[in-house]
Amino acid sequence: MRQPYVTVALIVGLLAGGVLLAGSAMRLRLPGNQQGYAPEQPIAFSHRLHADELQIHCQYCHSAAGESRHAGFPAADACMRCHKFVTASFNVMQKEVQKADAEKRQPLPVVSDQLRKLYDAMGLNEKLEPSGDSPSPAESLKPLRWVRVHNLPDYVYFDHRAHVAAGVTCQHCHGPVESMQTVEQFSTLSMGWCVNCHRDATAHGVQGKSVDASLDCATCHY
Amino acid sequence: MTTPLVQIDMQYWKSPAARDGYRENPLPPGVNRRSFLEAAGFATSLVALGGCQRAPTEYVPVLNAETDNVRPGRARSFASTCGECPAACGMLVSVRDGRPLKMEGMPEHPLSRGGLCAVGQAQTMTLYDKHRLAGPLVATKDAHEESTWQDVDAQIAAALDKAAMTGGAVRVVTSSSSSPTLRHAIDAFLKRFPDGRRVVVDPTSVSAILDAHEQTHAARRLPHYRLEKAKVIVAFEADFMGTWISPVEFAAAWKTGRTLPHRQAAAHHDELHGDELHDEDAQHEAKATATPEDEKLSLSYHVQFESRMTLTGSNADERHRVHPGEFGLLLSHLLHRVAKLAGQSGSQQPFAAASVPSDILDRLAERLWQHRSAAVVLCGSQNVADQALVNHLNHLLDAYGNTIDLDRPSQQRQCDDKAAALLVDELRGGKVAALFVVGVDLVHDLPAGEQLREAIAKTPLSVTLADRMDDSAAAAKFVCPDQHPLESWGDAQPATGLYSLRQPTIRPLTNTRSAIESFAAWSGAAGTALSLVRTFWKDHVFAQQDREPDFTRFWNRAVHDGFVQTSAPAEQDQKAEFTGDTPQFVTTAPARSDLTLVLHSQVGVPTSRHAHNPWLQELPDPITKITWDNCATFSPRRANELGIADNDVVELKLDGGQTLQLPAFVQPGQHDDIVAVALGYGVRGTERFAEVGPQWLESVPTVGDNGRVGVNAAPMLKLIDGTLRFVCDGLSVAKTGRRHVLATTQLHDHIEVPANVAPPGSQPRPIVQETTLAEYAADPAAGAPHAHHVEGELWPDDHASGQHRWGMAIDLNACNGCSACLIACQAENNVPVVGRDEVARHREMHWIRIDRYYAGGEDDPTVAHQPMMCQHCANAPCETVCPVLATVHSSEGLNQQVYNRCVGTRYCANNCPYKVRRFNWFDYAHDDEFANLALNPDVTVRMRGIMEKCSMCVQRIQEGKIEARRQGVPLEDGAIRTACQQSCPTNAILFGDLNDPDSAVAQAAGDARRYAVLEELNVRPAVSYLRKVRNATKESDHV
Repeated sequence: MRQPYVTVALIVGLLAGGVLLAGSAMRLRLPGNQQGYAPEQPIAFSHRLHADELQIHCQYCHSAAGESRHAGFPAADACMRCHKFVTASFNVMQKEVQKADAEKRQPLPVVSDQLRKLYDAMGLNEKLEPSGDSPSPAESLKPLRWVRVHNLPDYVYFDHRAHVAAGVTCQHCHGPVESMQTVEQFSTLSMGWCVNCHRDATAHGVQGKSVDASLDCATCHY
Repeated sequence: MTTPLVQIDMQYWKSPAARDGYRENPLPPGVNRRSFLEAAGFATSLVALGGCQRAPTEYVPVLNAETDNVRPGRARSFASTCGECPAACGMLVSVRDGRPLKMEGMPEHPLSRGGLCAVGQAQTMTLYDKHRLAGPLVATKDAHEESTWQDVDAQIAAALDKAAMTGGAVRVVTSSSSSPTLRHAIDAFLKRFPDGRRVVVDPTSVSAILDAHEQTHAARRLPHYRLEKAKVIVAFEADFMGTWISPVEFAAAWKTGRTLPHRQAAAHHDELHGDELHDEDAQHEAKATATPEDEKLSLSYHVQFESRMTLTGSNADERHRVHPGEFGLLLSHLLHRVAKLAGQSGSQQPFAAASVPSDILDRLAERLWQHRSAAVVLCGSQNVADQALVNHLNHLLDAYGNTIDLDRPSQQRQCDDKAAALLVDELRGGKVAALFVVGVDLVHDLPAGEQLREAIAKTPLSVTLADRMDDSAAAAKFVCPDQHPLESWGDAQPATGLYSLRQPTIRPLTNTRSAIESFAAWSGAAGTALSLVRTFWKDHVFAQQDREPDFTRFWNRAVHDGFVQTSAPAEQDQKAEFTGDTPQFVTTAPARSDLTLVLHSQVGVPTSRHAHNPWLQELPDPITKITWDNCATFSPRRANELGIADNDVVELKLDGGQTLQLPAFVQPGQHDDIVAVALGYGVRGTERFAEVGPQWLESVPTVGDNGRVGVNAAPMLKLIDGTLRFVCDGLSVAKTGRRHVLATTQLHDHIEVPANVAPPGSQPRPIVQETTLAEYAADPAAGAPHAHHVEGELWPDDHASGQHRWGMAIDLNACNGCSACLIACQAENNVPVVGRDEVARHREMHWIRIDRYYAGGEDDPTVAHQPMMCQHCANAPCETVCPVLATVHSSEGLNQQVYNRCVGTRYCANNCPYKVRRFNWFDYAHDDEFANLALNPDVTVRMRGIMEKCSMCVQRIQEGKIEARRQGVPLEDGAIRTACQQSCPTNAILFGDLNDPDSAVAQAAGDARRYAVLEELNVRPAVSYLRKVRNATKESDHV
């Protein structure tokens, strides 16, 4: 009772499906695996510059990592601690200063394209004064929308606190972020990867400390 | 010789159809099993292909400004005051990422003491409700049009100037509001009008109590009942743990008289119960710390006289069904007897016999007299004469100053029904020039609402501050929506000497304005609610205390603590002495008609304001277990006489001509001559619940024939002799022949063995175990049915517990069935609302249910409440049948449900002896983005086709463990509290680590009262129950 035309139709359908997906064929991967994901961010923020060259500690910006489930993204104000003064790269600013010296005038404010976006988000003009004439500051602001790189499924509850407290380094999961121009997902973040690490940690400890990394389902799923 | 012919190739057939080629094949012609599977396989791979790409991009908007101490993902608690009813319980608002998510009780609060009722817990549902009004409205010819605050204020100011000039009557109608700042703001607003008055209209009025105290104590006050000091509580119709005045406070106070120390089983019981406790250490430790046997065991004695079965009556030690018309006679009987005992003359005239036997009244009077100064009589009657008798009785019993505080009275109600009646007359007579309505729906909640609607429409200036388009708002010219209590500054004064502060926990979601600000604006002294509250506190509250000399410090402390206790000013002036003369004894019960209507408010939906809350609508009533409807309850005998069964729609008709059509429900324990109907239903705006549940082929709308949830019974109310009467004589009942299915959960998930399958001679399962105080005093393990000896285990104990073993203990002696835990669980665990039809199909999703059992006859049943949730069995039957290991045991003794593994076979639910598992038959509505703000981000929102159940708030366990680890401190007992435990007004639920012998739960598990439900199955639940001990009188051992 085989119906060859059914089989043929199904194969055609499968092929058609494959063709439809061909656009994203390069991105085909196992379901749920987002390893290597490196989306473009609203500001071309370089972790290499900040974390490696300038040696800024991870938790200076991601300050909630030790205290909350989420590591947290820094509020724009946190950027302004430095970028109130550093409005463009050193070379560009230096050039303007030299130029101003040569022309015997005050240096003009120089703002790089990328930092311009930060100031826009905060509603600041070139002189870093509040811009815009909207009566309500809250409405004139357009908060930055970073793109989430490390995104776990909704039924997984990962807690940064527990891992930071246990002494797991950021790089252990996030990879050498300090060498990344654009952050990408370093690990698979699959359940097997988590569980293997938990097994390993219980067996060998973390940084010489013995830990009890639970393997209960409800450690992460609830 | 003939040989019979044998046909070798004989074909057997079973039926002609089979012979002619019938095959049992549900597939369409041309498709066989093989091709079906082939198609299914291809289709699956096609779908799987689609999964092999990037997840959708997610964005993280960040704050611009850094905020101190706010960490994404961390909840912070803010002390505040519940604004859902004038009881004004203290609460802690848990705020996460800028959203108030969970209301918790405030353990330090002197009145509510850590509990919070179902209504208080459910308020996030009304906060994140897109059906609230978003800004001021002005009536035009046909409808209300959106306006701006400037416009509305200008128009109202112009109209007010006119009223002030002409000297017209200005009336501000509020419900009982315990906010002193609001009262102050209204009074300041009214000052400029020659005829300006504030009128309190309370749909759940207790006005008669205040009127009676005016008679007997020359002070119109609502006494502050101190039930924690009472050894004998006698209540007449007062549902003080359900809906009366301040249920959480009273439940907590009632519990103090119901507490028993942990006791060890007597020697001969050790063997019996040795098996039950699997933790030797805990048992040992419990023994060491057990209270000495000689400590006096005592329970308060609670007697309830009532006409319908209330939550409070269901918990009474002694309950009498009496007609509400007979309260006067009964009180006179009691008063006469107590007066005799006090050496007074009592009544000179003989009494007619009461329906309660005279020896019972004798005994009760004796008991009251014996416990005078520790006895209290409460009465919910709206008849001032009844209440005056109660005052006389309480005075004789020396209750004033002991169990009743009249010098520092309760401020939770300011009802004045005389003023309300006067207002109604004024409105109808067109004598009001300007009407302001705050927090009450006059048209819906008062009798003759239709006439009021016309009257309001005709009033020159009518303003309502309703936050929804209610019936009064629809008739009013201006609608100036008030803010949600969680959005605004406010305060409350639940009792003299106690001020409570409310702080906003979210910016106003819409363009609303708090009532305090509105009245300030209309009196020309505009200010923010914060400045107004602060100023009031500076001028009035600050001076009443001497703890903090500096106002800023005082204020900061008040904001932090949420409440301030003051020494009331000039306390001597506040004294209210008994001035009553001889009591007016009632010697005969007044004549009454065959049937009487009793109107009442309901635990879940106490007033019409709460009808918009889907959680509360779906909360099974603690007694009837009905959801999404009000109904007319009949006693079994009366229903039988009238030939009425559950769900029959009946027409109730009063002598006055008012009619009401409602489904009937047969309620055991109800008086035969009454029909009870809940108020607060049939509210305008509940039409939106028509499609609240999943919409599918067979779904039935959640609303009734009138398009709303339930029917409004307020037109049946009466304003007689200056009080709003909830008891109406002259009722007749007729069947309509129609039916309306009430969605009641009372027969769902029952764990009793049905009679038709029970083996002969089998005993009923001892699911609820109880004993009496006398028996318990003699034997701590009294009430245990029989021992279960377990001969070896079927399963090896393969999951040895690790560091912790989580367990729970539920004290049935403390649980009163109020269902606060149910809503707490719903809020904490994202339990969806399913709608009336789905509830009727046994598909409600609540993780915890309160099983309500009746014992004895239908007329006067004894009632027991038992919270039932996943028992986290060590030998869990669900775990052994799951084919995909979606429910497994954790190393900490939890029965885990892993949503992402579950494929929905439902084997586990079938195999669960406690019937606590819930299946997601649908993807329940989560398309209202606004309502989704109430979802707890710590708990997965479950999808269709998977099983769920109580997790013992594992998210809270994880939080507690991780936080302790982060801080490097050991995990304290009590650091982790489950949602149900946190909210329980009577602390009936204990949670903790059974491996820690000092933990409260391990102590409770070592109590001789401890038992496990369905222990005989040897599933070894982690939830213990403590046997109920009734302070029941036997004929032989009355005090």
